[in-house]
Amino acid sequence: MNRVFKALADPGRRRVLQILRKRPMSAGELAEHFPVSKPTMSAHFAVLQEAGLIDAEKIGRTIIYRLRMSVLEDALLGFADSLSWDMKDAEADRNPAKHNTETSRMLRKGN
Amino acid sequence: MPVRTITNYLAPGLLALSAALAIGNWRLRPDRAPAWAAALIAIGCMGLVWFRASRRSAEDGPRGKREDSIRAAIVFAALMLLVALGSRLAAAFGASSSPDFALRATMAIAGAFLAFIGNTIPKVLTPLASLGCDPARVQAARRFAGWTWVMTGVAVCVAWLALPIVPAQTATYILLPAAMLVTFVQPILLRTRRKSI
Repeated sequence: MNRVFKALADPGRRRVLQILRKRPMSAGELAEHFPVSKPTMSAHFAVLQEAGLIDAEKIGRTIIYRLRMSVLEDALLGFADSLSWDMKDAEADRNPAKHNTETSRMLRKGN
Repeated sequence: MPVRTITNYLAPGLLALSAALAIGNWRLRPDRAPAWAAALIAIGCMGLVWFRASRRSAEDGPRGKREDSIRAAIVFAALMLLVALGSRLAAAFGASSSPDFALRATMAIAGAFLAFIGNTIPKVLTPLASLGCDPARVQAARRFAGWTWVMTGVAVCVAWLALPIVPAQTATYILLPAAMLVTFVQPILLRTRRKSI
């Protein structure tokens, strides 16, 4: 459950989940919605997959992402959105050094 | 929720306790031996299914999701048996507080089970290549079915815990067929659609 909360704490990842609510999408289609680099998007996808909130399936040369959220997780997403959770920012404010290390690790993992 | 951790310890304990209660009931009310024997056979069967599911789950590793849901179902079934047998034993000892308690508790557990199953419906994914219709609509249908059964389960649970027996029964008779209808109608509508991915 910790992984789920961690995944939902980031507004970018919540946005990914909201977009995937419409339909399954490829990584490229999803990336079009965000003004961030591909490694950053890959890092977000990795966190969401690790939390079991999305599923990746390879079709030909394309990876299709789709939602894999339980109703409880779906409700948590709605709750987090309504409260505009941003635990990452809060954590960064409290401990900027740790936050930067974690972001770097995520980016390396995404590559 | 770590379903595996819960079912690993809870299910065998509940089944053992249920068996003990059934044997206790048998000793106190030998005139109803067939009922207690049936309960013991049911407990034995559930124990076997749990054992097999646990073995398969251990072989499959993290992928053993189906076995996890079987084991979770056994936990709920064992809870229902435990409540029924426990209330019978309490009645035999003359300690029964309310005649409706067993019915209310059993139905509330059944409602909680429906909510639990509903919660996992959107998590079960079919490979995209084997979908016969639009993946977006399948996803929407699964989410809708999940929310429907969670809401129905919670409503049934609350109804049996909070309402008098007759309104709770009426609510259950209305909610369950309505949820079934809604869940079955959606896939029929999906059949006519073509897949887009």
